[in-house]
Amino acid sequence: METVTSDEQMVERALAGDADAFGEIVRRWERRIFALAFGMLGREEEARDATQETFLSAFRNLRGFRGEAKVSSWLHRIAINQCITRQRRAKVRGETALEDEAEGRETGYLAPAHLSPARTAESRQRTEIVRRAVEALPAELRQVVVMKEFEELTFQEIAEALDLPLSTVKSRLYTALRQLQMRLQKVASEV
Amino acid sequence: MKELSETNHCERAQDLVAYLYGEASEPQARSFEHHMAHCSACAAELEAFGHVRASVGAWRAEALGSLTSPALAGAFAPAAQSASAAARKPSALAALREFFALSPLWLRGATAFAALTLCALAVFAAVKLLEEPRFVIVEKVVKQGPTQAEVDAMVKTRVQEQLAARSQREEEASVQPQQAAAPAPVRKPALITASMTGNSGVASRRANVQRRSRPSVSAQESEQIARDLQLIPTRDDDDLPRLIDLMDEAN
Repeated sequence: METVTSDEQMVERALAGDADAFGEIVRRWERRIFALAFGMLGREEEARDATQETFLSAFRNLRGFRGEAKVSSWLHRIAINQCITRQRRAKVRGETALEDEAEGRETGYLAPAHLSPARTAESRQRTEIVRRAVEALPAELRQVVVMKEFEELTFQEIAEALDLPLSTVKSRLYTALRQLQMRLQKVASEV
Repeated sequence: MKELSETNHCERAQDLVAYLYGEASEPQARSFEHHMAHCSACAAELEAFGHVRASVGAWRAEALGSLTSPALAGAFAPAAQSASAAARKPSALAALREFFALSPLWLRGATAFAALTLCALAVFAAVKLLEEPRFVIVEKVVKQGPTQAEVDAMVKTRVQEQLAARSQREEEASVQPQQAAAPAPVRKPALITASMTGNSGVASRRANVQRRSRPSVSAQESEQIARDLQLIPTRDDDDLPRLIDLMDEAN
Protein backbone atom coordinates (compact mmCIF):
# COMPACT_ATOMS: atom_id res chain seq x y z
CA MET A 1 0.00 0.00 0.00
CA GLU A 2 1.41 3.33 -1.06
CA THR A 3 1.73 5.90 1.70
CA VAL A 4 1.16 9.55 0.88
CA THR A 5 3.86 11.85 2.16
CA SER A 6 2.42 14.78 4.09
CA ASP A 7 3.17 18.37 3.18
CA GLU A 8 5.14 18.76 6.39
CA GLN A 9 7.32 15.77 5.51
CA MET A 10 7.88 17.24 2.05
CA VAL A 11 9.07 20.48 3.64
CA GLU A 12 11.47 18.52 5.83
CA ARG A 13 12.80 16.79 2.73
CA ALA A 14 13.16 20.11 0.92
CA LEU A 15 15.10 21.47 3.88
CA ALA A 16 17.31 18.40 3.83
CA GLY A 17 18.27 19.20 0.24
CA ASP A 18 15.71 17.23 -1.76
CA ALA A 19 15.08 19.71 -4.58
CA ASP A 20 12.14 17.67 -5.86
CA ALA A 21 10.25 17.94 -2.59
CA PHE A 22 9.31 21.60 -2.93
CA GLY A 23 8.24 20.96 -6.52
CA GLU A 24 5.83 18.37 -5.15
CA ILE A 25 4.39 20.91 -2.71
CA VAL A 26 3.90 23.34 -5.57
CA ARG A 27 2.19 20.66 -7.64
CA ARG A 28 -0.19 19.90 -4.78
CA TRP A 29 -1.18 23.46 -4.01
CA GLU A 30 -0.69 25.65 -7.08
CA ARG A 31 -4.20 25.11 -8.40
CA ARG A 32 -5.84 26.05 -5.15
CA ILE A 33 -3.55 29.00 -4.51
CA PHE A 34 -4.22 30.17 -8.04
CA ALA A 35 -7.98 29.91 -7.43
CA LEU A 36 -7.60 31.88 -4.23
CA ALA A 37 -5.56 34.57 -5.99
CA PHE A 38 -8.03 34.72 -8.85
CA GLY A 39 -10.94 35.09 -6.42
CA MET A 40 -9.11 37.83 -4.57
CA LEU A 41 -7.76 39.74 -7.56
CA GLY A 42 -10.28 38.97 -10.30
CA ARG A 43 -7.67 38.99 -13.06
CA GLU A 44 -5.96 35.98 -14.50
CA GLU A 45 -2.56 37.55 -15.08
CA GLU A 46 -2.52 39.11 -11.64
CA ALA A 47 -3.53 35.78 -10.15
CA ARG A 48 -0.73 33.97 -11.96
CA ASP A 49 1.84 36.50 -10.79
CA ALA A 50 0.53 36.35 -7.22
CA THR A 51 0.66 32.54 -7.27
CA GLN A 52 4.21 32.59 -8.51
CA GLU A 53 5.20 35.16 -5.91
CA THR A 54 3.55 33.08 -3.21
CA PHE A 55 5.59 29.99 -3.97
CA LEU A 56 8.75 32.01 -4.45
CA SER A 57 8.26 33.63 -1.08
CA ALA A 58 7.54 30.25 0.50
CA PHE A 59 10.67 28.78 -1.07
CA ARG A 60 12.82 31.65 0.17
CA ASN A 61 11.40 31.40 3.67
CA LEU A 62 11.35 27.63 3.88
CA ARG A 63 13.73 27.66 6.83
CA GLY A 64 11.36 30.00 8.64
CA PHE A 65 8.60 27.39 8.57
CA ARG A 66 8.56 25.97 12.08
CA GLY A 67 5.87 23.36 11.63
CA GLU A 68 3.55 24.97 14.16
CA ALA A 69 0.89 25.46 11.49
CA LYS A 70 0.02 23.33 8.50
CA VAL A 71 1.89 23.93 5.28
CA SER A 72 -1.43 24.67 3.58
CA SER A 73 -2.26 27.35 6.15
CA TRP A 74 1.20 28.81 5.77
CA LEU A 75 0.87 28.94 1.97
CA HIS A 76 -2.61 30.49 2.19
CA ARG A 77 -1.40 33.15 4.53
CA ILE A 78 1.42 34.04 2.16
CA ALA A 79 -0.98 34.06 -0.77
CA ILE A 80 -3.48 36.29 1.01
CA ASN A 81 -0.72 38.72 1.94
CA GLN A 82 0.50 38.72 -1.65
CA CYS A 83 -2.99 39.51 -2.91
CA ILE A 84 -3.57 42.27 -0.37
CA THR A 85 -0.20 43.83 -1.24
CA ARG A 86 -1.02 43.70 -4.92
CA GLN A 87 -4.43 45.26 -4.35
CA ARG A 88 -2.89 48.07 -2.36
CA ARG A 89 -0.36 48.72 -5.09
CA ALA A 90 -3.12 48.64 -7.71
CA LYS A 91 -5.16 51.07 -5.63
CA VAL A 92 -2.18 53.43 -5.44
CA ARG A 93 -1.80 53.23 -9.20
CA GLY A 94 -5.57 53.67 -9.59
CA GLU A 95 -6.01 50.36 -11.35
CA THR A 96 -8.92 48.00 -10.95
CA ALA A 97 -10.21 45.04 -12.87
CA LEU A 98 -13.19 47.16 -13.87
CA GLU A 99 -10.89 49.63 -15.59
CA ASP A 100 -9.46 46.75 -17.56
CA GLU A 101 -12.94 45.85 -18.63
CA ALA A 102 -13.68 49.42 -19.68
CA GLU A 103 -10.56 49.33 -21.81
CA GLY A 104 -11.83 46.18 -23.46
CA ARG A 105 -9.14 43.91 -22.09
CA GLU A 106 -9.77 40.31 -21.20
CA THR A 107 -10.24 39.70 -17.48
CA GLY A 108 -9.95 35.97 -17.63
CA TYR A 109 -13.52 34.81 -18.05
CA LEU A 110 -14.57 32.75 -21.06
CA ALA A 111 -18.16 31.59 -21.39
CA PRO A 112 -18.79 27.89 -22.07
CA ALA A 113 -18.66 27.09 -25.77
CA HIS A 114 -21.93 25.13 -25.84
CA LEU A 115 -24.08 28.19 -24.97
CA SER A 116 -25.85 30.24 -27.62
CA PRO A 117 -24.66 33.83 -28.13
CA ALA A 118 -27.67 35.16 -26.19
CA ARG A 119 -27.13 32.71 -23.30
CA THR A 120 -23.41 33.40 -23.42
CA ALA A 121 -24.00 37.11 -23.07
CA GLU A 122 -26.46 36.52 -20.22
CA SER A 123 -24.09 34.15 -18.46
CA ARG A 124 -21.26 36.57 -18.86
CA GLN A 125 -23.31 39.42 -17.49
CA ARG A 126 -24.37 37.41 -14.44
CA THR A 127 -20.83 36.30 -13.76
CA GLU A 128 -19.59 39.82 -14.13
CA ILE A 129 -22.11 41.06 -11.59
CA VAL A 130 -20.97 38.46 -9.06
CA ARG A 131 -17.34 39.25 -9.71
CA ARG A 132 -17.92 42.93 -9.15
CA ALA A 133 -19.87 42.24 -6.01
CA VAL A 134 -17.07 40.07 -4.60
CA GLU A 135 -14.46 42.60 -5.60
CA ALA A 136 -16.36 45.35 -3.86
CA LEU A 137 -16.15 43.53 -0.54
CA PRO A 138 -13.58 44.69 2.01
CA ALA A 139 -10.41 42.59 1.88
CA GLU A 140 -10.98 40.86 5.22
CA LEU A 141 -14.45 39.73 4.10
CA ARG A 142 -13.43 38.90 0.54
CA GLN A 143 -10.61 36.60 1.61
CA VAL A 144 -12.97 34.58 3.78
CA VAL A 145 -15.54 34.20 1.01
CA VAL A 146 -12.88 33.24 -1.53
CA MET A 147 -11.27 30.72 0.78
CA LYS A 148 -14.63 29.16 1.47
CA GLU A 149 -16.17 29.30 -1.98
CA PHE A 150 -13.15 28.96 -4.24
CA GLU A 151 -11.07 26.63 -2.13
CA GLU A 152 -13.77 24.99 -0.08
CA LEU A 153 -11.66 25.19 3.06
CA THR A 154 -13.30 24.40 6.38
CA PHE A 155 -13.84 27.13 8.94
CA GLN A 156 -11.08 25.64 11.00
CA GLU A 157 -8.63 25.75 8.06
CA ILE A 158 -9.53 29.35 7.30
CA ALA A 159 -9.09 30.24 10.96
CA GLU A 160 -5.65 28.62 10.97
CA ALA A 161 -4.62 30.23 7.72
CA LEU A 162 -5.70 33.69 8.77
CA ASP A 163 -4.77 33.17 12.40
CA LEU A 164 -8.26 34.14 13.52
CA PRO A 165 -10.69 32.67 16.04
CA LEU A 166 -13.25 30.30 14.56
CA SER A 167 -16.12 32.54 15.61
CA THR A 168 -14.57 35.50 13.78
CA VAL A 169 -14.35 33.48 10.60
CA LYS A 170 -18.01 32.52 10.85
CA SER A 171 -19.17 36.05 11.61
CA ARG A 172 -17.03 37.48 8.78
CA LEU A 173 -18.46 34.96 6.38
CA TYR A 174 -21.98 35.74 7.52
CA THR A 175 -21.34 39.50 7.00
CA ALA A 176 -19.77 38.87 3.62
CA LEU A 177 -22.72 36.80 2.45
CA ARG A 178 -25.17 39.45 3.60
CA GLN A 179 -23.26 42.20 1.77
CA LEU A 180 -23.05 40.10 -1.37
CA GLN A 181 -26.73 39.34 -1.22
CA MET A 182 -27.53 43.05 -0.80
CA ARG A 183 -25.35 44.03 -3.75
CA LEU A 184 -26.71 41.33 -6.04
CA GLN A 185 -30.24 42.26 -5.00
CA LYS A 186 -29.53 45.89 -5.82
CA VAL A 187 -28.10 45.10 -9.24
CA ALA A 188 -31.01 42.77 -10.00
CA SER A 189 -33.49 45.51 -9.16
CA GLU A 190 -31.61 48.00 -11.40
CA VAL A 191 -31.67 45.56 -14.33
CA MET B 1 -34.88 35.67 -4.11
CA LYS B 2 -36.23 36.91 -0.81
CA GLU B 3 -35.31 40.44 0.19
CA LEU B 4 -33.42 40.77 3.44
CA SER B 5 -33.62 43.59 5.85
CA GLU B 6 -30.49 45.64 6.47
CA THR B 7 -29.92 44.00 9.83
CA ASN B 8 -30.62 40.53 11.15
CA HIS B 9 -32.19 40.51 14.54
CA CYS B 10 -31.37 36.88 15.25
CA GLU B 11 -28.32 36.01 17.34
CA ARG B 12 -27.82 32.60 15.70
CA ALA B 13 -25.99 33.97 12.66
CA GLN B 14 -22.94 31.76 13.21
CA ASP B 15 -25.12 28.65 13.51
CA LEU B 16 -26.78 29.69 10.26
CA VAL B 17 -23.42 29.85 8.45
CA ALA B 18 -22.31 26.50 9.89
CA TYR B 19 -25.60 24.93 8.84
CA LEU B 20 -25.38 26.54 5.36
CA TYR B 21 -21.93 25.06 4.69
CA GLY B 22 -22.71 21.71 6.30
CA GLU B 23 -20.23 22.15 9.08
CA ALA B 24 -22.67 21.98 11.94
CA SER B 25 -22.64 18.85 14.04
CA GLU B 26 -25.74 16.64 14.05
CA PRO B 27 -27.15 18.09 17.30
CA GLN B 28 -26.33 21.66 16.19
CA ALA B 29 -28.03 21.07 12.85
CA ARG B 30 -31.15 19.62 14.47
CA SER B 31 -31.23 22.51 16.91
CA PHE B 32 -30.95 25.11 14.15
CA GLU B 33 -33.64 23.42 12.05
CA HIS B 34 -35.92 23.60 15.10
CA HIS B 35 -35.01 27.31 15.49
CA MET B 36 -35.75 28.09 11.81
CA ALA B 37 -39.26 26.73 12.19
CA HIS B 38 -39.95 29.72 14.44
CA CYS B 39 -37.46 32.34 13.02
CA SER B 40 -38.52 33.72 9.63
CA ALA B 41 -35.42 35.98 9.40
CA CYS B 42 -33.05 32.99 9.60
CA ALA B 43 -35.14 31.00 7.15
CA ALA B 44 -35.15 33.91 4.68
CA GLU B 45 -31.40 34.39 5.07
CA LEU B 46 -30.71 30.73 4.56
CA GLU B 47 -32.57 30.81 1.27
CA ALA B 48 -30.96 34.08 0.14
CA PHE B 49 -27.46 32.89 1.07
CA GLY B 50 -28.10 29.72 -0.88
CA HIS B 51 -28.69 31.84 -3.99
CA VAL B 52 -25.53 33.87 -3.30
CA ARG B 53 -23.52 30.69 -2.97
CA ALA B 54 -24.94 29.38 -6.22
CA SER B 55 -24.00 32.61 -8.03
CA VAL B 56 -20.47 32.68 -6.63
CA GLY B 57 -20.11 28.97 -7.39
CA ALA B 58 -21.21 29.58 -10.99
CA TRP B 59 -18.65 32.36 -11.37
CA ARG B 60 -15.97 30.12 -9.88
CA ALA B 61 -16.82 27.21 -12.11
CA GLU B 62 -17.00 29.31 -15.26
CA ALA B 63 -13.94 31.40 -14.54
CA LEU B 64 -11.63 28.71 -13.28
CA GLY B 65 -12.96 26.17 -15.77
CA SER B 66 -11.65 28.26 -18.64
CA LEU B 67 -8.33 29.00 -16.97
CA THR B 68 -5.30 26.85 -16.93
CA SER B 69 -3.28 26.44 -13.77
CA PRO B 70 0.07 28.20 -13.76
CA ALA B 71 2.04 24.91 -13.77
CA LEU B 72 4.82 26.33 -11.67
CA ALA B 73 6.10 23.07 -10.24
CA GLY B 74 8.75 22.72 -12.92
CA ALA B 75 10.10 26.18 -12.25
CA PHE B 76 10.86 25.33 -8.64
CA ALA B 77 12.90 22.23 -9.29
CA PRO B 78 15.46 23.16 -11.94
CA ALA B 79 18.25 21.87 -9.74
CA ALA B 80 16.36 18.67 -9.13
CA GLN B 81 15.77 18.27 -12.83
CA SER B 82 19.41 18.74 -13.67
CA ALA B 83 20.46 16.49 -10.81
CA SER B 84 18.09 13.76 -11.83
CA ALA B 85 19.12 14.17 -15.46
CA ALA B 86 22.72 13.73 -14.43
CA ALA B 87 21.82 10.74 -12.30
CA ARG B 88 20.04 8.88 -15.05
CA LYS B 89 22.63 8.96 -17.79
CA PRO B 90 20.98 7.78 -20.98
CA SER B 91 22.60 4.95 -22.86
CA ALA B 92 24.49 5.74 -26.05
CA LEU B 93 21.73 4.20 -28.11
CA ALA B 94 19.05 6.20 -26.29
CA ALA B 95 21.06 9.40 -26.72
CA LEU B 96 21.48 8.64 -30.42
CA ARG B 97 17.78 8.01 -30.76
CA GLU B 98 16.99 11.26 -28.95
CA PHE B 99 19.40 13.14 -31.16
CA PHE B 100 17.85 11.78 -34.33
CA ALA B 101 14.38 12.44 -33.05
CA LEU B 102 15.11 16.09 -32.22
CA SER B 103 17.44 17.04 -35.08
CA PRO B 104 16.29 18.47 -38.40
CA LEU B 105 16.41 16.27 -41.47
CA TRP B 106 19.53 17.84 -43.01
CA LEU B 107 21.48 17.39 -39.79
CA ARG B 108 20.43 13.78 -39.56
CA GLY B 109 21.56 13.20 -43.17
CA ALA B 110 24.89 14.94 -42.65
CA THR B 111 25.55 12.99 -39.47
CA ALA B 112 24.71 9.69 -41.12
CA PHE B 113 26.96 10.53 -44.09
CA ALA B 114 29.86 11.48 -41.81
CA ALA B 115 29.42 8.30 -39.80
CA LEU B 116 29.40 6.16 -42.95
CA THR B 117 32.51 7.90 -44.29
CA LEU B 118 34.33 7.32 -41.03
CA CYS B 119 33.37 3.66 -41.04
CA ALA B 120 34.56 3.25 -44.65
CA LEU B 121 37.88 4.92 -43.84
CA ALA B 122 38.36 2.70 -40.82
CA VAL B 123 37.66 -0.43 -42.85
CA PHE B 124 40.03 0.70 -45.61
CA ALA B 125 42.81 1.40 -43.12
CA ALA B 126 42.32 -1.98 -41.47
CA VAL B 127 42.49 -3.80 -44.80
CA LYS B 128 45.66 -1.97 -45.84
CA LEU B 129 47.26 -2.76 -42.51
CA LEU B 130 46.53 -6.45 -42.91
CA GLU B 131 47.81 -6.59 -46.50
CA GLU B 132 51.23 -4.96 -45.99
CA PRO B 133 54.15 -6.96 -44.41
CA ARG B 134 54.99 -5.78 -40.99
CA PHE B 135 58.84 -5.71 -41.10
CA VAL B 136 59.55 -3.65 -44.19
CA ILE B 137 62.63 -2.03 -42.66
CA VAL B 138 64.27 -5.34 -41.99
CA GLU B 139 63.85 -6.31 -45.60
CA LYS B 140 65.48 -3.09 -46.79
CA VAL B 141 68.38 -3.26 -44.38
CA VAL B 142 69.46 -6.79 -45.12
CA LYS B 143 71.49 -6.66 -48.37
CA GLN B 144 73.81 -9.13 -50.01
CA GLY B 145 77.59 -8.26 -49.89
CA PRO B 146 79.90 -7.88 -52.95
CA THR B 147 80.91 -10.96 -54.89
CA GLN B 148 84.44 -12.40 -54.77
CA ALA B 149 85.21 -10.98 -58.26
CA GLU B 150 84.17 -7.49 -57.18
CA VAL B 151 86.38 -7.71 -54.11
CA ASP B 152 89.34 -8.78 -56.21
CA ALA B 153 88.80 -5.91 -58.66
CA MET B 154 88.58 -3.37 -55.85
CA VAL B 155 91.82 -4.65 -54.27
CA LYS B 156 93.60 -4.52 -57.59
CA THR B 157 92.47 -0.94 -58.26
CA ARG B 158 93.53 0.18 -54.82
CA VAL B 159 96.99 -1.36 -55.14
CA GLN B 160 97.51 0.40 -58.45
CA GLU B 161 96.48 3.72 -56.94
CA GLN B 162 98.90 3.29 -54.07
CA LEU B 163 101.78 2.47 -56.43
CA ALA B 164 101.05 5.47 -58.62
CA ALA B 165 100.98 7.77 -55.59
CA ARG B 166 104.30 6.46 -54.33
CA SER B 167 106.06 7.01 -57.65
CA GLN B 168 104.64 10.52 -57.85
CA ARG B 169 105.94 11.37 -54.38
CA GLU B 170 109.44 10.12 -55.37
CA GLU B 171 109.41 12.31 -58.47
CA GLU B 172 108.41 15.35 -56.43
CA ALA B 173 111.19 14.71 -53.90
CA SER B 174 113.78 14.74 -56.65
CA VAL B 175 112.47 18.02 -58.11
CA GLN B 176 112.16 19.96 -54.78
CA PRO B 177 115.91 20.88 -54.15
CA GLN B 178 115.94 22.72 -57.52
CA GLN B 179 112.98 24.89 -56.52
CA ALA B 180 114.35 25.78 -53.00
CA ALA B 181 115.68 29.21 -54.10
CA ALA B 182 112.29 30.37 -55.35
CA PRO B 183 109.89 31.82 -52.71
CA ALA B 184 107.12 29.47 -51.80
CA PRO B 185 103.61 30.73 -52.52
CA VAL B 186 101.95 31.67 -49.32
CA ARG B 187 98.23 31.71 -48.96
CA LYS B 188 97.06 34.70 -47.02
CA PRO B 189 94.98 33.62 -44.02
CA ALA B 190 91.47 34.86 -44.42
CA LEU B 191 90.96 35.67 -40.80
CA ILE B 192 93.93 38.03 -40.41
CA THR B 193 92.83 41.66 -40.43
CA ALA B 194 94.58 44.98 -40.47
CA SER B 195 93.78 45.56 -36.79
CA MET B 196 96.12 42.69 -35.91
CA THR B 197 99.09 44.51 -37.44
CA GLY B 198 101.78 45.12 -34.86
CA ASN B 199 100.56 42.36 -32.54
CA SER B 200 103.82 40.51 -32.11
CA GLY B 201 102.36 37.74 -29.93
CA VAL B 202 99.81 36.78 -32.49
CA ALA B 203 102.38 37.12 -35.24
CA SER B 204 104.80 34.80 -33.49
CA ARG B 205 102.03 32.32 -32.90
CA ARG B 206 101.14 32.47 -36.60
CA ALA B 207 104.73 32.00 -37.49
CA ASN B 208 104.95 28.96 -35.22
CA VAL B 209 101.83 27.47 -36.77
CA GLN B 210 103.26 28.04 -40.23
CA ARG B 211 106.57 26.67 -39.13
CA ARG B 212 104.90 23.55 -37.82
CA SER B 213 102.76 23.04 -40.91
CA ARG B 214 105.62 23.83 -43.32
CA PRO B 215 108.90 22.73 -41.72
CA SER B 216 110.88 23.16 -44.96
CA VAL B 217 110.51 27.02 -45.02
CA SER B 218 113.76 28.83 -44.14
CA ALA B 219 114.17 31.86 -41.85
CA GLN B 220 114.42 34.18 -44.80
CA GLU B 221 111.25 32.83 -46.26
CA SER B 222 109.48 33.23 -42.93
CA GLU B 223 110.54 36.86 -42.69
CA GLN B 224 109.39 37.49 -46.21
CA ILE B 225 106.05 35.87 -45.51
CA ALA B 226 105.63 37.90 -42.35
CA ARG B 227 106.40 41.09 -44.25
CA ASP B 228 103.93 40.16 -46.94
CA LEU B 229 101.30 39.52 -44.35
CA GLN B 230 102.19 42.86 -42.68
CA LEU B 231 102.75 41.08 -39.39
CA ILE B 232 106.03 42.98 -38.92
CA PRO B 233 105.43 46.70 -38.41
CA THR B 234 107.09 48.75 -41.10
CA ARG B 235 106.63 51.91 -39.11
CA ASP B 236 106.76 52.39 -35.39
CA ASP B 237 103.56 53.52 -33.65
CA ASP B 238 105.55 56.22 -31.92
CA ASP B 239 106.28 57.75 -35.30
CA LEU B 240 102.60 58.33 -35.92
CA PRO B 241 101.47 61.95 -35.31
CA ARG B 242 99.29 62.39 -32.28
CA LEU B 243 95.79 63.71 -32.75
CA ILE B 244 96.30 66.52 -30.27
CA ASP B 245 99.40 67.73 -32.15
CA LEU B 246 97.49 67.70 -35.41
CA MET B 247 94.76 69.75 -33.78
CA ASP B 248 97.32 72.25 -32.41
CA GLU B 249 98.78 72.62 -35.86
CA ALA B 250 95.37 73.21 -37.34
CA ASN B 251 94.69 75.95 -34.81
